[in-house]
Amino acid sequence: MPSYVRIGFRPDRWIPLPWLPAGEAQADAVRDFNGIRDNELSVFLVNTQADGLRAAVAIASKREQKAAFGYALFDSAAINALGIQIVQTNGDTPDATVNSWHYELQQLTFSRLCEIAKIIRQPNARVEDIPLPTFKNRVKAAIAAGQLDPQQVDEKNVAQ
Amino acid sequence: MKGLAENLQIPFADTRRRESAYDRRSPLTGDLSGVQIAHGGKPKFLTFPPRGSLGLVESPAEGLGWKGNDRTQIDLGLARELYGRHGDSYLSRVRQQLSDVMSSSITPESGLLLKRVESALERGESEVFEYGVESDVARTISRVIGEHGRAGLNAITTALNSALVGDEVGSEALRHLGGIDDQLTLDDRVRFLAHQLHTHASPRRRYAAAVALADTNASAAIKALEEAASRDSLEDLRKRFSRLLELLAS
Repeated sequence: MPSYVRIGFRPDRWIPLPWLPAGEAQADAVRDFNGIRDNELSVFLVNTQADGLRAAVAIASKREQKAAFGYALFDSAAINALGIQIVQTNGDTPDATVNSWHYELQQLTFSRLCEIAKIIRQPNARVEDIPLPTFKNRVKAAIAAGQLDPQQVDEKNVAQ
Repeated sequence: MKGLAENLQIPFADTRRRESAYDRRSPLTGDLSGVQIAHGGKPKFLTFPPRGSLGLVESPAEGLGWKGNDRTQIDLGLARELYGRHGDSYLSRVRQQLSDVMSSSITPESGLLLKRVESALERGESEVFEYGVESDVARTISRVIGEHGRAGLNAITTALNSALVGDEVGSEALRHLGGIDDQLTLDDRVRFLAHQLHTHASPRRRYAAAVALADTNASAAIKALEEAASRDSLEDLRKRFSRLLELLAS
């Protein structure tokens, strides 16, 4: 399923707590959209979960990661159906292929954001953490495979 | 925020599932001035190592088998009987005895450390935790452990056990306990995180503890995760724990 990927999520905010109505997200999840600037949301379009992980690792590799970090993988068709203005631009990660998957969701309104949150809460979406050891192993493997440009990767992400 | 668990209750076994020995040895930290000895259930034995953590075990022998530290034990069955006979005066004596033993571990330094951590957690209540920005909570936790090792970790676990720390801040703190590069406190961190994972009432905290355990990638952490993946009360969490294990193995 084609999906959008975005990092910077804290998955505990997306756990369906027992008191939550079906399909609803915790209000605390709003904090995961703090990175929105100028009413735009940066996402990467992928076709597989493996590419979703690849994109998440590539995005995160530019900064030193001291702990696990979360990312979301959610239905791009459902987002597109919201009628949001979506523009393809070049991404800014150390992975040239991933950069070509980059899109901006533009002119977002608060109600659109709520719709996006609901799509992220759907069962076919995933909000999960990438543990630090997994991240570091994948960075090293991606550098070895020539996917990540080591010059752009934070050197602490490849240290033991 | 008030100080530590001012009304700490020491419960008898009252869990939905069979506790492992690991659970029973887990820390229940707090200010002993507020200890209440609960009634009901079969007699338990209270144990505590010098650094301020309390735990319950099934028998004195089991308590004595806890590696590492000297400890004092109190037969709570006997305590109940004496409490029934002498009332509050007995309870006061118990509290005093506990305080005397514990005071050997409460130093001015540990008090300051605790205040430092509690202040950071309190400030965290008005902090927005955002990816890419190291939070004050995370920075304090990392520094306190880096600078003070086990004493620092003890202050963190004590403060986190306060019921006054909310899930948003508590989860932020827990999440950063795994990735800290400090081998001296690794076993203690894993033990504390495993306890949070297996026993905390909040699903968010259990999840945060699981992520931190995954960050350590220690064998005891994996074991704790595997256990939680099969027995947590929430299906969503069981799936998440399995996924963490899958990612670690990939």
